[in-house]
Amino acid sequence: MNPLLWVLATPLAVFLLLFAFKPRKGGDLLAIAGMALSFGLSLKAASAVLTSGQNLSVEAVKWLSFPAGTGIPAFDLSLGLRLDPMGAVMLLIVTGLALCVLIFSTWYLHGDRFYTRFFSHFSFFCFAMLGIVLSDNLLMTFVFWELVGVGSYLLIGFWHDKAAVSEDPFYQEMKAKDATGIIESKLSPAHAQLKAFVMNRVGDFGFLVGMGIFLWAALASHVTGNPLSWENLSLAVNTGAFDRISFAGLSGGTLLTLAGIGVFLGAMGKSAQFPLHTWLPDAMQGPTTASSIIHAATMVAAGVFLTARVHPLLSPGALVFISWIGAITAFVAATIALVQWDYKAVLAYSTVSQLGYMMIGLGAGAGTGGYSAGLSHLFTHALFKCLLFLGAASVIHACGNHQDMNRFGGLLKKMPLTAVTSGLAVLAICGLPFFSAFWSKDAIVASAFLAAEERSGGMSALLAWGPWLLSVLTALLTCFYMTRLWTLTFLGQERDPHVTHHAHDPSLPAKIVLALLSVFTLQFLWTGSVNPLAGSSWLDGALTPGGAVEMVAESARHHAHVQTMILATVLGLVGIGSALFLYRKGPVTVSVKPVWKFLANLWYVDRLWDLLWTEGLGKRGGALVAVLDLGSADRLTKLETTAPLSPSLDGVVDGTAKLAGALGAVFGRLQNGRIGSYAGYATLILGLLALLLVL
Amino acid sequence: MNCCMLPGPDLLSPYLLVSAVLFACGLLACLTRRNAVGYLMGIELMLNAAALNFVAYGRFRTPLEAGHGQVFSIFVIVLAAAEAAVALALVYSVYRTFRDVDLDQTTTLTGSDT
Amino acid sequence: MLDSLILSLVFVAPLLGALVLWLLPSGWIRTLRGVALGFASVPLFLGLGLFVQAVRSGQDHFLLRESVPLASNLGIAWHLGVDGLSATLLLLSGVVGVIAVLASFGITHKVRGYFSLLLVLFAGMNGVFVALDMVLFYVFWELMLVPMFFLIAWWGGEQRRYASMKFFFYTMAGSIMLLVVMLALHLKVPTTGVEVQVQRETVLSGLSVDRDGNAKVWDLPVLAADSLGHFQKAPASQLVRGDVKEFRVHVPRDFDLLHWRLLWKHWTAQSFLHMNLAAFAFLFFFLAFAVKVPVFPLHTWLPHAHVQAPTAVSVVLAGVLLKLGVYGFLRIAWPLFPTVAAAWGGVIGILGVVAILWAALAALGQKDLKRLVAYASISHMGYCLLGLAALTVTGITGSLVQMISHGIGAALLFLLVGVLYDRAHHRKVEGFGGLATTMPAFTAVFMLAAFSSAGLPSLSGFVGEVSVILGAFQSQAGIAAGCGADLFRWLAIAASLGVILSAAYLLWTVQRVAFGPLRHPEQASFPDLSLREKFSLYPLVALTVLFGVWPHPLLAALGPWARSLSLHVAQAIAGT
Repeated sequence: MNPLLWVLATPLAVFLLLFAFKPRKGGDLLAIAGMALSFGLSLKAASAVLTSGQNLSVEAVKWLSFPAGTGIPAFDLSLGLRLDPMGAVMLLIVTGLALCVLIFSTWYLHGDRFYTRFFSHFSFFCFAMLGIVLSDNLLMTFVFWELVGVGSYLLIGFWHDKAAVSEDPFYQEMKAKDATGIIESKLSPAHAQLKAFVMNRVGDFGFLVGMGIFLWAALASHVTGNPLSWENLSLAVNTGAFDRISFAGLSGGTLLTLAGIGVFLGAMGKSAQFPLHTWLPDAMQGPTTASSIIHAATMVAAGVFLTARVHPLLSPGALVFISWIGAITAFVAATIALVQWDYKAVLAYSTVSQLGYMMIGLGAGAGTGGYSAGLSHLFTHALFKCLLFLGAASVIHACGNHQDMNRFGGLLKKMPLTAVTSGLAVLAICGLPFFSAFWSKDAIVASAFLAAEERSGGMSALLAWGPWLLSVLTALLTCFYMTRLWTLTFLGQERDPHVTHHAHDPSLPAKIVLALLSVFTLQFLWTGSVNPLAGSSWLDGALTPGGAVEMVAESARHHAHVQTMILATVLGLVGIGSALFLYRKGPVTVSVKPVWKFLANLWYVDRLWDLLWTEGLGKRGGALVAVLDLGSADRLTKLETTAPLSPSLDGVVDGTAKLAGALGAVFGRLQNGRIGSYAGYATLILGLLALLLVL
Repeated sequence: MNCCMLPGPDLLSPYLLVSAVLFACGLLACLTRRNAVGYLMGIELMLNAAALNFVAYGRFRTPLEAGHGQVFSIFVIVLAAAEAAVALALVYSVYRTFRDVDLDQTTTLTGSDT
Repeated sequence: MLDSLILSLVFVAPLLGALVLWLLPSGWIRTLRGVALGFASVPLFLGLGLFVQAVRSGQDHFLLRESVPLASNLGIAWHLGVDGLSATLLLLSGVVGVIAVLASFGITHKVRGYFSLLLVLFAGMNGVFVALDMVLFYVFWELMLVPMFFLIAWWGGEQRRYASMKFFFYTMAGSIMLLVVMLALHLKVPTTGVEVQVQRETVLSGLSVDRDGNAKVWDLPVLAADSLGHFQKAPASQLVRGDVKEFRVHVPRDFDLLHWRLLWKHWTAQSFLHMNLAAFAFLFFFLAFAVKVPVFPLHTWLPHAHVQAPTAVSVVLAGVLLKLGVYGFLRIAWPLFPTVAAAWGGVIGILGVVAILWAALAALGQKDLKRLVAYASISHMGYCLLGLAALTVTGITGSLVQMISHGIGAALLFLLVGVLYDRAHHRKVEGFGGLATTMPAFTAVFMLAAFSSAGLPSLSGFVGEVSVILGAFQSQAGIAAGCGADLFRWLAIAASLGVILSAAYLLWTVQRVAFGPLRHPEQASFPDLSLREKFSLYPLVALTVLFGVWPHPLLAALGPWARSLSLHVAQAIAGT
């Protein structure tokens, strides 16, 4: 059987087995064995694809087939697997990291009351993620997109019986003194999983709309096979399908932009782009190892992956939109991370910020090298972020589940391996030479620069240069807050010995995982050479998009790259240095209180969304509609055949019944039981009839 | 063709007038009297007015030997007698239930909730 | 003969069961339950067999059809038939019926009366699905009304009198409209019948051959003009070869629904009460069936009826009865008056989208679990309406598939609410919390049902929903409706907002009921699903997953049907 099918089916089989049989022991081993099998096969498949440049695929299977109608041909939305170079690298990362995290989790979740269930849900998540990576058409991506959402839902809500943090004495005791910004009555694993899923659904709304428009265009072009497959979509766009259809007066390029933005909205939801980012920090309610795979490396990367997949279809207008969204996300998240005390929260916002970076890269376009930069950062970030989260797991576990950095300090001596590996990851994320992100992140900034140069002809300077400016600022901030994170945790004196007294490095399997991942923070593993300025990499085959692109002149690119590298290194050193200096002795009090408050309250976005959607539309809007429809709760308790009238739809219906009753009462009064009056009526009517007849 | 086989003036209209007055009296009695027996008297009046009507038309507008009007008046008398029997039985039944023949008191079968 | 037996058995079996139940002593509760289950399974097996045949055939034609004149001077015939649509709905009805009987094992008083009424209800439902004569259709339609009324009125909740009265009068109003329009249409056909022109495709769709080799369409001889211009019976071979394109058929005055399909042009030319007869008839048919679907704003009877009815009756109500309204649209309103349906498609589509969004918002504001699920039902039926109004093959197929998957999904949800009610004796959402630890199997099924209703791919709720939305995007029906070509695209976008709201209210409910700490300590002793409950829930779960992962059977049975309806309307609009 085709190795791709095995890669995809093994995690699903593990999930089904664990769900059906719920074994008391051995579930973790089964999951690890299954993932090892998947990883092994992925290695084989991926190396075949990367070395030969040929895609691997599995024949598509008919799924949703519809017969032909008037003006619309018969079509079949099939499901098929395809592995191209970009997918191959992603495949390796997903299966490899999943395996690492599974091994780490045997230590991290040891003794947990839901231990086996973690491995079961984790395998389901991996199955869904692999489906996204291997899918060969837009609909199948959507299917697995939603399933990934379910996997994330299950993992975030892992400890489903935990109360909201406002009622959790341990949380109240362990949170930082001036922590703010979180709506505590609405933070629990159950709340967080709901929030994540519903916010992702907002993105999925856009995805559906975009998909609908793309399908309509593809069908208007009469393609063969699955109209939503990547090849057919490119074909449709390139043969002018969008010029043949029009919607709301838009056609051609503008309509394509609209469709592209629709699909990108899905990516925004999944990759936690501003303003759909507020679910990600809440998702830290789940186990840290789950976060390390979902919210660092894979699921949130799915949005970037999708954007890269549909990149050939995106119009320049859509790319500008993507750049801006990415830039805003990167900047906003970085500013919030500056003031967080919770170790995981900093990492969460850092992830959001880096995802923004990737979108800046993709938005810069393929010609400026932004596409390859964004993708390469996706890959490098997956690894060092996973490492950072696993380091966080290690620290948190060691410190008795405390996450407040105010209580850490001096852990370098107690947990040297964790400190060193996390430190390497921090250096990587800062983009210093010899580390992986030096190659990827700086390429993004460089491509943003080139893109801005290209665009400044056609639009205002601010619009064109904004993304680059924000990316540079964010680079500085990133170095600062990541160093702050590391310094406060590992350097200085132990500020709370109760918490840090018993800290030590994790057990051997976990240590091996940490060490292994830290190797990937080094640049030479990515570019294949020790020279920090080397631009090419063994991944190059994976990083060029399908289809012809206009290449910016090589010399201009090189120039921009060198400029950016110097700028980045300088900023990096400034950021790291200042953070080290400021925080070497412990936390610092802040002087600019209003700014701090604004940032600590997460730019009030979470509160705004809570006010608008949860309280506003959800609770109050829902209650209003319910009352408009069926009447007030008071009315509902008094429903007899003589129910009181009420201004509601149901009241209108009851009103017609009451009208009939009222008419009946009026006419009923004619029947007064007096025979004399009856005789009178009869006489009157007969007389009138006679009169009419005569006349 | 004049159907009056007997000589004499055409006295139809006066008879009709009397019959109409009788009918009106009977109707008035039906519409206004409270006493059930009085009500029945009104009905009798109306019936007899109709009989008078028949007789008048029979005398002045149809051949005498056919005797249509007289036959009809016999019919009316018989029917009135039968109806009176039934009606009086009803009145007696009402009296037994309500202890009264005042029609204004026998109003329990009404169209509103009493 | 066997055809007729199979066709009649779907409603005769339950009726017979009701009769048998009355012969048994009312104290033998176990026997009563067993007998009821037995007789209710007959339509299930028949429906399954017919469905499998429909899937295999992959075409839209009648699998079985039988027509015997009953009162030929009045035009009433015993005309029954099953095609892809009916077969699928019979399967749904069979499954929901058996499961409802299983769920009714908790009824303890007046058991015999309950089960016999339930069986009569099944007979009525199944009869509607196979009836092809309008009078028969009407009789079965009315037959459902009385048992439903009593089932709610005698075994329901505290406000059962109000709910049953409201249900009865609302549905009765619709039935009266059915009666009026049925008679109006019948009487507007001249006593000698009408000669209509039909297209070759129409003849081919209902072609049968008589003993002399002449063609008949729906048992009426087909006449073709010969070289002299006289109309003679057309040999079937000539028709199939395609020599002649236009034919005439003499349609007698009767109540046959298939004959009525040939008469739509005749009725469009007539007037009734100063209205065009076709418009009047469509309006009345629409209103009559719209009460059942339910179409906004005629939906307010549903929350009351669902909440007050016992669990099993709610299951049947949501699982099958709502589909009868849509079935009426599909079998009668749309095929008989395609031009009017297309002209009003805009309004109908808008009503569908309003239902989706309004009911979803109302569900967010509900504090009673059952009422919440009732609003979820209304919201899902909005998708059916939108798909139907869009008139594309994808849209109509989606509408049909959505009917089936909603039937399964709503049944699941109501059964789950029933499980909770059996234990707690209340349905307030605030009255629960944190049940996942005490009832893990229940929570798992609840989550699956919630995700399916929210349209998660790989569960059955997705196929219908996504097909409706994609079909609405392709739809050009807005032009025929006079609202602009883009109307249905805007409606599709609005309907897509429904996915956000449905995830919100369904998963929020799961969260409030199952997750978080246990809010009411006395609920720690709640038992997880019993064997009987598992028997009623797990088959539905299996169907949900099956149809979600492998929608091929549904699409094979319903796709061709949707295609023929779409083409029929398109041809009618084009004026052919």
